[in-house]
Amino acid sequence: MKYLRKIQSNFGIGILLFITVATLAGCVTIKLAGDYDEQIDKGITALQRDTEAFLVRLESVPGTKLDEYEKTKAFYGEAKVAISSLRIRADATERNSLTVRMLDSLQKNLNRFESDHASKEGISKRELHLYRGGFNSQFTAILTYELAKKRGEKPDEAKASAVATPFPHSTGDGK
Amino acid sequence: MSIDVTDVAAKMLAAAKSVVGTNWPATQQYFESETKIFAERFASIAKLRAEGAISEERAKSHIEFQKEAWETVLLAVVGLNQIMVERALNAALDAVKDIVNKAVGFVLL
Repeated sequence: MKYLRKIQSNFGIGILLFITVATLAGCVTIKLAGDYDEQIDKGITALQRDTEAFLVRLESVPGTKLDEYEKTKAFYGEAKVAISSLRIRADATERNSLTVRMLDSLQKNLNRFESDHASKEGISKRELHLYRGGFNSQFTAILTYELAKKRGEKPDEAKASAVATPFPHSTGDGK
Repeated sequence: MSIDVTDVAAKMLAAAKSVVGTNWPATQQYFESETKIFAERFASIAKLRAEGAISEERAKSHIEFQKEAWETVLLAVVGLNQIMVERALNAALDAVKDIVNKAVGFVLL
């Protein structure tokens, strides 16, 4: 009886170890998220810069409204192509569904911004900080996650987990 | 050679805790900082509408825009946590691999 209990106990531990090892599928390193992609990093950084340059240009005209949609609509086409290219690239990487969803959200907001800009109401300069802040939150989120995928590279680990520096236009009502 | 399950579990837990303790505060800070910024933006939308500076339709559009941006931030937080869990699991395995490998007599982990 005593030996039977010992065998059962050892068998239980063995099963536990077996399940653990089987779950790990023989892999020493577990990977839950996709690999860092330099092209996503550079692409989002470039898109952030272009978007900011576009917003600055929109608000540089005299008056209370942004520059007219018709004069500036070329930007939207270029930005949509840029996001679409990054999405295709992200979608081709394993375990990368979060990045794909983040890019989809960015695309939706670009479409919304364009729609608001093209509307009869237009966009007033007082509203611009809301769009700028939202876009910057999205760019920061995508970059923060992408940089965190740089596993084992110490300098960027710190950068990836650091709190984003607030953008000067991200709060207040722009008065 | 048998494995001391209690000892192995304690080592795995300590290694995993260390990773979580290092990574979670930064993610939490990022999340809290962004939450505050979004709250300020919602207040700003309400103010613009109250002053008649934007239409009701535009106010709704702004809310949808911010909700979408907020979702992106939350997805990043999920991703950062996912990577933290990944690191914790790997640290836990790394902490006990010598014990396990020695016990089984070959390189298992």
